[in-house]
Amino acid sequence: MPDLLRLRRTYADRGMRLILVSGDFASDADQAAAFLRELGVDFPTYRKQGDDMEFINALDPKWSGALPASFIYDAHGQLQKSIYGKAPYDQLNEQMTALLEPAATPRR
Amino acid sequence: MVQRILTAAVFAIGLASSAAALQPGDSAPQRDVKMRNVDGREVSIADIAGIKGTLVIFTCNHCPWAKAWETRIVALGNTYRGKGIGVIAVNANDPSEHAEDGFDEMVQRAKQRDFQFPYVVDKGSTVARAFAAQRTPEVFLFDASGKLVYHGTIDDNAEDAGAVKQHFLGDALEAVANGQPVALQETKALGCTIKYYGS
Repeated sequence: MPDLLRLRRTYADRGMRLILVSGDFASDADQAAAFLRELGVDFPTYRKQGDDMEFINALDPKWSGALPASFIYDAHGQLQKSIYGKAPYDQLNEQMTALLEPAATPRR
Repeated sequence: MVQRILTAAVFAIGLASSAAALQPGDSAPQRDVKMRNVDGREVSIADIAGIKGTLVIFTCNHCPWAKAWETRIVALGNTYRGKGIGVIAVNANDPSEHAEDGFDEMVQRAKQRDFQFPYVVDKGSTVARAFAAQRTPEVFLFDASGKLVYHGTIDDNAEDAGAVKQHFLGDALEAVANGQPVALQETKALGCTIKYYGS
């Protein structure tokens, strides 16, 4: 979580939006909200409602549903990268750099 | 010669990470691997395989989803064990990540919930990796001839047992116990990543 927030601080004014979606149960929603407040999250976050399978397949049909998971979509809403498990800052940073400055880093 | 080298290279890559996902019709991998049960004995999937079928459940102690489904998993396992389906619960999590996933805790949990089937330690996550298991809980149900006929989750509502509309695993177990084909062979749900040893 701190890595995701750090990523947001770095890239928010360069067009990156961080959407946090909690898979917590309704009965744990208050606890989840308190945890986010403690981390200094001061932007809207979401909690999954409805059917698990629909949710999972909408984000990434290859995803098993195991949490944590991070999904990186480009400006056109196309899924560019899925990271299953914890997402290390270096990996996130690399993805963001590639997505936000494609012209500056030509691929060989 | 070139073909053999290529095959060896592909196999070596497979060993380092998880195997490819199991497909319907596949047999249980690593079925002879002995794993430590909560009663201290060493048990393999082959040891518990049933006449009608075999149910392998990857689960653990700490995960909120495993906890939410636990009484339902145990109820199904205990019921269908008595109907010719061999059942085994496998904890592939490294307890250094969550102390709650340790062996002593498994012993307590199995007693508390009245597990009437083995709850074993997949040391090194060997079996989980071979199954390409991703999540707790995640189940694999094999039929009488040892072929995979159902893979996925328990039902469609982790949080509220009373609000379940689709009993995915229950339906699959009933079909297998009666030698019938399983209608819905693959499902998914949210859960916790398996905390592989060495990751």
